[in-house]
Amino acid sequence: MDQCDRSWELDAVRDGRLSPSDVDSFERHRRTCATCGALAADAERLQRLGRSLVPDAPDDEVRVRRVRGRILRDAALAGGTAPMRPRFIVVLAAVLLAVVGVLVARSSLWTPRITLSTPGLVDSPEGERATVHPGPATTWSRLRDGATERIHLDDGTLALEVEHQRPGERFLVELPDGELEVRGTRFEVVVKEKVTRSVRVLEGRVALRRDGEPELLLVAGESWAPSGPAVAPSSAAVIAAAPPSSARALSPRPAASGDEVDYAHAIKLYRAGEYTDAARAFHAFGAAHRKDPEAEDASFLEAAALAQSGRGDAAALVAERFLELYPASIHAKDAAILVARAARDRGHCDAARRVLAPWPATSSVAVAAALGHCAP
Amino acid sequence: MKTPSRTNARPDAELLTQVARGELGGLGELYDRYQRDVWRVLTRTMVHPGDVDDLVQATFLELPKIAASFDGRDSCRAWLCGIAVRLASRHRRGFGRWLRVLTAFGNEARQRPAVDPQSSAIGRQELRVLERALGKLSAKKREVFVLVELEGLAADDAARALEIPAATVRTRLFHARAELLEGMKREAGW
Repeated sequence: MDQCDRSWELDAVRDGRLSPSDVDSFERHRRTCATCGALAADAERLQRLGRSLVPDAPDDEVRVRRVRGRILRDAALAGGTAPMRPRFIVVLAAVLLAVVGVLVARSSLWTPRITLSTPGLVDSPEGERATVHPGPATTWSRLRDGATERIHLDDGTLALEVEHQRPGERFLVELPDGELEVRGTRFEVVVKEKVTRSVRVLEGRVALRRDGEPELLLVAGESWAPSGPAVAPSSAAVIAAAPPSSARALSPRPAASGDEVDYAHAIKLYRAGEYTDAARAFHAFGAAHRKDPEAEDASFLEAAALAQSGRGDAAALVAERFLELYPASIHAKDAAILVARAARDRGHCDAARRVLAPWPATSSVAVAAALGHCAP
Repeated sequence: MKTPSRTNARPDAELLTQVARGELGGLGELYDRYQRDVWRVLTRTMVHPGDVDDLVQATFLELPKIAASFDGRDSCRAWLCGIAVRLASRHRRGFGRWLRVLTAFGNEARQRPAVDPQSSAIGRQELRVLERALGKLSAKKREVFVLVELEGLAADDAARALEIPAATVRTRLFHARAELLEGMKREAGW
């Protein structure tokens, strides 16, 4: 192709680097210059073709939302271990010195103790109804997600004072090998090398859920350690007897199923519009892989597939179970919408409003539609 | 480029200020607003498909650390795309990984169905040729081509995003376009 001295102006026009009169001048030139005309046409063609190489957006909504959840969680974890402010460091150093002094004076080996009145070690942001006392070098973070507050303890010792939770609220301590749930209590938990080493309850009660083990309820004065509970066996109760709001009935991990249940296959069925089969496949996957990170998605998608197949009441039942198991899930709102729709259709407006209470009708079109005539 | 309508939405700068303060609500909102753009730019710069989600995540996880450095303009889309491309570039260093990307991308080019009716009309053959030609571009030229030609950033914005002079962007773009056109003429009969 022949060269043209003014070809550079093609990009300059696009970048807005030319004055209006220069743009006019170049456009007049372009109409008569074969080189510039061809270059412009090629560039446009290349651009159009290039833009069609990749879809405009990922088509997997579940994946998009899972990445969102991971980002917020990791950001929260990073925030919990962010560099401390100088003033806080000074206070912390003073407190640590005081603690060391006390320990030396008592001439005893340090054992994790609850230091509820220790100033400077307290983390209680305004509006929070729990106070966290981290031990030295403890790695932890705090995240409030709607009505659920989560403390993630990676390593070290935390002593916590938790005010009694209001209805609908949850307070969880996530551990590397399980979780603790409380309603209102004072307790201490120690994690070392990714293993929970001890839980000690001063007031109230704590539900300890370790991976693959039944839930254990510890009440005031009791403690637990992996070598065996330090409490009288009679005083530890399986949480199944506790009220449903605080007792998520976790059963021990089931024996691995011999059947190969394929999550991808279930997704494929869903996408193909075979909703009844998809619901069955998601159910099977969820039952066989309860500890799998995808079990949460599978459970929600089972409800969604049932709804798509026209079985609104069955969808609502599955969605209700989902909300019990994963109240803080990224799918919680959608699951609540499924429950609310069915309640609305049965004329149970109170139930519809109750399940959607965390998301006001004005917050989205979907919520308003789910409430329909039940909207307050 | 498609950007969701954001009537009454809070400005990006306000959300980033929130993120800089450690408030994660702003981060979630920015993700909802721009995850598609970040995903697309990463895919277009030929990040291995298996790594795209991780790099999307890494891009948004950068924000709490650098949100305070945002210059306050109306949209942080170009800035975010720049972060994504730079992270992808860092991620790509490592010859083995790069080879894997090229191999996988070649396979993708053969397997990926036409993505929309428009691309069907244009023709799968041309798409395959362009994908191969893009794969042969140096990463630096490809990044500029993707940001300016495919993502629609102005050269100055791309320069800011990539932290290189605008003149360098224009030079790389010129050569990227020339190499791609040459490939299209040679293999697709343009």
